[in-house]
Amino acid sequence: MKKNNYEYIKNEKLFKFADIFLIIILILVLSLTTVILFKKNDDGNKVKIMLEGKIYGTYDLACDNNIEVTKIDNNGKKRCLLKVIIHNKEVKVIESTCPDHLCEYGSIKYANSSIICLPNKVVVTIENSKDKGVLST
Amino acid sequence: MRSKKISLTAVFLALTLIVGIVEAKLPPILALIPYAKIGFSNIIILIAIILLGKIPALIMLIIKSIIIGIFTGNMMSILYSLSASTVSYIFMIIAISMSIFSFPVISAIAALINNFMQVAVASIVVSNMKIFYYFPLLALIGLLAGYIVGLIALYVLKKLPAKFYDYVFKNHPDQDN
Repeated sequence: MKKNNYEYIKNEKLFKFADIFLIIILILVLSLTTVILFKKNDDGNKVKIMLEGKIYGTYDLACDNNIEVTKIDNNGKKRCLLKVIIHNKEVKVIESTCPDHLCEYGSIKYANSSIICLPNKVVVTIENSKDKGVLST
Repeated sequence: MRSKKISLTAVFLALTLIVGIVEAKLPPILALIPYAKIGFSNIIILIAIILLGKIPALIMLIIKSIIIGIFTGNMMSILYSLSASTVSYIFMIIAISMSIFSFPVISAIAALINNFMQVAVASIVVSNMKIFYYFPLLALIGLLAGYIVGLIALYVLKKLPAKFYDYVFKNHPDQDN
């Protein structure tokens, strides 16, 4: 970049020839993978909760449940991080202690979809454990 | 850096912080992935790269990541945004100097790299690779958002009068470099 960028900006075009290839390739690849990933809405049957990379618990999706995810903090006290609600085969997170509360938007009901709470390091995933059994044998 | 540039960097930094904090408090645009954001605060960073230079923009980027993390109370976000924005910033500087792609497309690819880095850091933090399930959709939205941001930044930069560029770059006779 030169000292004064006024000339650079005045000559800069809104669109360049090389853009077309890059944008078309990227949009094709990304939308194809998105469609492939989200097309098959398999019904899951298990809800797996992971806390800091370890399995916190596995629950049945079919029966309604109200799970409190707790963690023992540095003072040895039990602290509730968030609540996971299983209702009508749908999973929802409420009352999270994280600052952004992004995990409380929406609910999940299909296999492989997940709710992620980054500040609390909690991942709630719906799984199809029958699939896993076939894979492992 | 001259004092004029330092004070202009501070003004631009204040602008990005206002836009960034307001955007962090707004509800997410998509309920399916609440992590997706347009990133309007990056318009001002992009303008700063061209108007003020590479180093002031990098300083703005680093301070912005830290202060937004503190102000929104989300300390973990500093980790994601610092690593992601630094990598996409380096890409942007290289791409601008190569000038093969147009400015909005460079911004779109930088947004894509930013998204990828954030998902990668997040998957390490929660040690769960399942997060990448949402990456293609997130990247698609990021691509579009980055393009919009780049387009707005280029439009603003083109509309700024030549006088303004001169003002930023010209040395004041009383000052030494």
